[in-house]
Amino acid sequence: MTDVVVPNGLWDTEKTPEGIVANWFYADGGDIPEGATVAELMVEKSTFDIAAPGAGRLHIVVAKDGVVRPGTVIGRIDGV
Amino acid sequence: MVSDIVSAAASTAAGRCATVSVAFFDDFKTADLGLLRQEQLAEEISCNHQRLLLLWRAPRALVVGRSDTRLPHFANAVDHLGAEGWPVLIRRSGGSACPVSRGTLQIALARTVTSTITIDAAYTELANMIRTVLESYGLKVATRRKSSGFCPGRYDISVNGRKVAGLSQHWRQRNGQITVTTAATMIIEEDPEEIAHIVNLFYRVAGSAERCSSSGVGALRQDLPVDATFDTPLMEDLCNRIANAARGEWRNDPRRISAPPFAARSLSQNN
Repeated sequence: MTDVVVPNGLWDTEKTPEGIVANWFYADGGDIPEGATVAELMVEKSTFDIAAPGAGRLHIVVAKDGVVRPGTVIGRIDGV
Repeated sequence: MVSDIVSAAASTAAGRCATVSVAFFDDFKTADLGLLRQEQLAEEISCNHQRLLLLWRAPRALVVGRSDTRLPHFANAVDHLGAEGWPVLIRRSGGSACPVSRGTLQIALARTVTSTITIDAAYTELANMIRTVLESYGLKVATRRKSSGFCPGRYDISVNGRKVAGLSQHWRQRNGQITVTTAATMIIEEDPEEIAHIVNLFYRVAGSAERCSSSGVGALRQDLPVDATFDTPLMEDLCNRIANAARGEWRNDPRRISAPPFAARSLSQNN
């Protein structure tokens, strides 16, 4: 199982406490290839593409429009 | 033409790929071509520490954020604005509706992300560059949220209390490398009332309460003294100053390789 994580230090949480998951590009339970853009975050007029750290089956932890901070695990990938 | 310039810079850097600052202008026939070019800019980064600067303009379009597509009557708004001569495009960077037109300048700065680069650091890099340029015209510039302007955000750039530029970003991970493209829309010679009208029309038809005020939107031309004259048209003069600011901003980087001269051929040809 590999975590899909919001990178630490991506933004200054003192200025912008939170972001949101703006989109998931794969369905919960779907198979994803390594390196694919699986989700998009939105923070202070910035979008951030999240790449799959490995191939496998996606389990969404934070749904679309859910609130995130740097370090938040937004999904998990079951390796195949 | 643009590709030639990039290639020339790349060959200069051959064998010691480091920071290559490339400033170039393109005048697109349609805004979707310009937006595509901007969104692909980061893919041209060939090595760490490289930064690419793109300046472009195109005929009228309203470029909205992806979140705008979720508005209840988005499709109606697209049809309505298209009929008004403002086709609606969707961008990958964040934020809300921004205008593209021959009287606006689109600025994009793409770079690789190092450990010191955060969202705020990347915003500050481009905001400071724009601020430096506006101050070179003798203008008093403020960088703070302008809620009554279009696409409001913390890095809004205002002159005389009216927003003249707004910034947004798109971060990507590819092959283990993270890149960020910070983009700005700058109002140069466009009517602020027309901009406010078209932004408000879009949101009203789309079913959103978001609005901007014409008194909150400015234009560089209006902020300059009436008798201000330059050796070249204002848009070209501005592009040259931005390119110079970019070179100055990066002058202290020991890995930097000189940028090619700014090319304004396509701009001149279309004036």
